[in-house]
Amino acid sequence: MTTTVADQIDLFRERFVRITKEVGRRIVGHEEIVEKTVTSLLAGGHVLLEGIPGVGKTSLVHTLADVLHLKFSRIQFTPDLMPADIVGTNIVQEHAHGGMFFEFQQGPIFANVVLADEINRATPKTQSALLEAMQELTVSVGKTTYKLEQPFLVLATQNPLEMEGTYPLPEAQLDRFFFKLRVQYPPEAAMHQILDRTTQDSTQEVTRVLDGPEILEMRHVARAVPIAKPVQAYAIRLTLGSHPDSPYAPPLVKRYVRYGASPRAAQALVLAGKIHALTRGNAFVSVEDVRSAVLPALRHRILLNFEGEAEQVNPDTIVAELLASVPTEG
Amino acid sequence: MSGASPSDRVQEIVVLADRRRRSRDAVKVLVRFAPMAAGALLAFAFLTKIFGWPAAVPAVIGGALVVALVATMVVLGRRRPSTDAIAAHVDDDASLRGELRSAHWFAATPGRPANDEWADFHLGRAVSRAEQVDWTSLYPPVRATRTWAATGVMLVVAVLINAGVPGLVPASWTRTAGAAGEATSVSDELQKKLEALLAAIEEGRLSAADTKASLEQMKDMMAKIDPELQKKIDQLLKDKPLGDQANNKRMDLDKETLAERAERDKASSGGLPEDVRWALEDLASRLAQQSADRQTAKGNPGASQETGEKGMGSAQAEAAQATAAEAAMQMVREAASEADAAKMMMGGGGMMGGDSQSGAGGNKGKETGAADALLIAQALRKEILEATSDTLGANINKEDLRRKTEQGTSSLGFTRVQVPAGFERGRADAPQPVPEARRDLLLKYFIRR
Repeated sequence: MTTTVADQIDLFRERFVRITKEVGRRIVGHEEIVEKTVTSLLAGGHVLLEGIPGVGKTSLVHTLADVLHLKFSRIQFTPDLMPADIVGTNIVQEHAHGGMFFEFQQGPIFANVVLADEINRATPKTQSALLEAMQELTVSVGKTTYKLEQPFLVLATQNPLEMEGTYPLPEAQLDRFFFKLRVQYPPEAAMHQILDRTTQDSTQEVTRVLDGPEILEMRHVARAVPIAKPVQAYAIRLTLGSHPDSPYAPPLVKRYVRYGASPRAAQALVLAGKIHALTRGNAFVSVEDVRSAVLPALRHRILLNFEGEAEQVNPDTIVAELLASVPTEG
Repeated sequence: MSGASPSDRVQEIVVLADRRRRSRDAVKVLVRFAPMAAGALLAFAFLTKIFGWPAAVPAVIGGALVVALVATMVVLGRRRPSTDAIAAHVDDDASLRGELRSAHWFAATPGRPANDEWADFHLGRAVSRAEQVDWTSLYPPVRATRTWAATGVMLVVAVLINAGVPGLVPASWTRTAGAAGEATSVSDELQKKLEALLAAIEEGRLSAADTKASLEQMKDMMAKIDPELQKKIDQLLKDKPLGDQANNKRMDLDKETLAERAERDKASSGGLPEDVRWALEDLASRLAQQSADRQTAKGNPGASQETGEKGMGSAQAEAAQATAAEAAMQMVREAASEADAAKMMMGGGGMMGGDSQSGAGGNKGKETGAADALLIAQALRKEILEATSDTLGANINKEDLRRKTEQGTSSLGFTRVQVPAGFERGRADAPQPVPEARRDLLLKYFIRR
């Protein structure tokens, strides 16, 4: 390695800022969502965006794909969508000299950035087609396994209000999302900017600031950041504290949670903490870095029990109590 | 320090910062408690002077306080090995955003790869940032000039008081203390002598001349100990009638006083129940008769039992009887004055009168029955108190007038339930239907669509 650590940190930081700034030229009022989405991209994770229609979820993903020099595809999930429509299928081809053969026709999953729009409208069978791709970054069709091109990022959206005719994501699927981000309604000041940019006869152009290899390099840098064991122990305590039978579990968890977060949550906390540290120009991970990722990393990994569902307990409340109760020193 | 490695430097910074922090905390504790300790010491010095305690008391207490404070200082300010918790505290105080804590862990952890450039970079940067922190201003020395001054003044005053400097404690406060102080100087032998002398005078073993001489001797001795006591002895010398005749005269005077009092009680007992009033009248007449007998029997020490007269030697027994009679009279009056009191049986003998009965309250024809009457009166009074505290409709709900402590107010009852002969499946009730409000949630929970 020819560059020093300080140079790597500075470069990482500069690229991160460049991405978020460029996305921010088109997406207004969602700075934190953009930052967390880019964090997830750099950590090699996938993002589930939840929000009411019209708040800019799909636009955000489009813009991100535009900013990054990556191959983008969009899948509109519907109840009649089949797994083969996502991963691809073998079709019969005819040789020029005669004879038939099967040729694999790649589905839209073979891209760098995949937008799975309204993912909860497809059947669980179709949803499960994403499982292998999201975790192993491979697609198996028949007896052949195909590797997906790196970087690979799935950005799924879902509408929390309209639940009729939808299929809630199974826990295994949910757990594969690095972050679950709630896209809130934009504030009034941001609404002015949105209207100015979208109701005039000009479109806000964005430039491609990063390509695939650069993103992979940033991923490598992010994983090199050292983390002290006491800080890592804090991330573990937070994860364990989401389980009702854990000694770290606060009262809300004990009462309303059936299952807590998996070890993937702890991985997400540490990786996101490292990236957060780098974006602040640090070569170490602090407790604050870990805490910054707790809400998006844990909220979808907490499975409520019947009482919690009946009383419509918000998992964010439970995570907030977890943050407040778990000690930072072991 | 430039020669030290970043790892050592980080650990050293943490240890020094922690020591500064805890020293400051120790001084804060001292500033908080030192004035209290000095105040306590001053108070003890005052109390020692006032109550005449040994001078060592404030010294011992002061010493204990100083030892406790010094021990606290030592414990709080001692050097201790740095831990992650300490590093976290120091890091938090210095607002280093976890850098020092993280670096401290890397510095303290053995087995770290030697060419770990990220960790080295982290340590180096942590040292440079920690060295930029002004630890003196972060943990400034505690300034409490007024507190120290007040503490010092109190300590000095306490020492001066303890040393006996005049004018610090008003002389009138230390009156007892001075006497007691001198009393301590009186030898044990002198004290024993005094006690023996007092006992002899009280028991009347000395003749008048001897008593007078003894009292003079006592006066001389007590003059050394307590001037107030000396005045009392002077008064005693003037007032005390000497000899057995004087004693008998005092007894007669007491009897007369008691009779007068009984008469007075008789006059003022218009509102009392008839039997109580009768008892009081009887008591008054008997006491008056005894007083008259006493007057006629003067100079007749050998008065016989047949004439009903008492000998001179029974003066103490008479005094005891008079006291018992007075107490009995008081008890009778108290019992009779209770609201709604039941009629009281005056079963005692002697002065209380009444027919002869068996048992403790029977009239035995002796005047010593007054003590029995006292016991019976006490017992009856207790009964009356308990009886009056049970009021039907107020604190008891039933007709049976049991003791208050035995009253039960439970409203629990038992209902006889017919036990079914056997379980009949066909008659089993269906479970409660799911409330409409929760039906959707229930379906959503158990049936995944």
